[in-house]
Amino acid sequence: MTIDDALRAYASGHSSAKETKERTGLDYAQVLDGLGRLNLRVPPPAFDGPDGDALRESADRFTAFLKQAR
Amino acid sequence: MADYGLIVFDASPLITLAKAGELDVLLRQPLPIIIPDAVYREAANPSYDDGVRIMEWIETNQARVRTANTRAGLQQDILLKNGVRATDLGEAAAIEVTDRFLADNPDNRVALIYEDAGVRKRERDPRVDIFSTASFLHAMEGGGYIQSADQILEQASQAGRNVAEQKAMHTPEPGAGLLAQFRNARTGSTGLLDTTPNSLHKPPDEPSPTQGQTRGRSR
Repeated sequence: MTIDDALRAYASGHSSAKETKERTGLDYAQVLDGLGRLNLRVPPPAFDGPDGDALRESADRFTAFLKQAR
Repeated sequence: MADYGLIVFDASPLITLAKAGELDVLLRQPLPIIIPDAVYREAANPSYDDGVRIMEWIETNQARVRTANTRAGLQQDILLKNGVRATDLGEAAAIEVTDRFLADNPDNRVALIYEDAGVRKRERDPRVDIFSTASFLHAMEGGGYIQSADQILEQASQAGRNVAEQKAMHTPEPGAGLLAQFRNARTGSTGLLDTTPNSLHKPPDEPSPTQGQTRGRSR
């Protein structure tokens, strides 16, 4: 797997930031620069994994808290 | 209504926001922000521009942003003094800070901001909600604190995009050398017929007008 393949896997949500750093030998700031070079960016919120429901519940709860705190 | 008491950050989300030039969006939400010591060492690295930016931001906003000492941070310190690069201790330090806070504030919740929230198993205290940078920013957007989470995420990788564009601009088109010779022969090198952008004529190490957007030293 090349560095660019690893960056694409991260941007598409198929691997974690930690895995990407391990595979590429880059630190996180370099990962961000690499994403930009490939015209990609940080992956969107993921709610479809094994913990997807719990993560969505957390996001909804925190959003409600922030709305109320305004 | 959930009663959040704290936001704890790992290094990657801070680096993302620093690169986007948007650390200040964190101050728009009402909760105190804790940066564990091991996270601080990783994120506020003075060798890099975004690290300096994080360091200055924490110093400037001490009323809202605090660092916290941890056992993981102490361990990291010892390893560093012995020349061992200690990675991933930021995560352990963040968990330590979270557990300590919840022991003292059992009725509160904590928002823990990691880059890898989406793939992390939730084995922790049910009072801890874990967010990736993207999901945290989308919650901020949903709460009406920022206009566009996507815009900030886009800005975070803009530096790398600018570098790629700069490289593309400095890469001559096939046959460009021959074309330049032809032009020079016709014009006597006066450049009168030369319509190529000025940036193409600069030596590669000379900054071009857009190069300032790359935020200087990168990690």
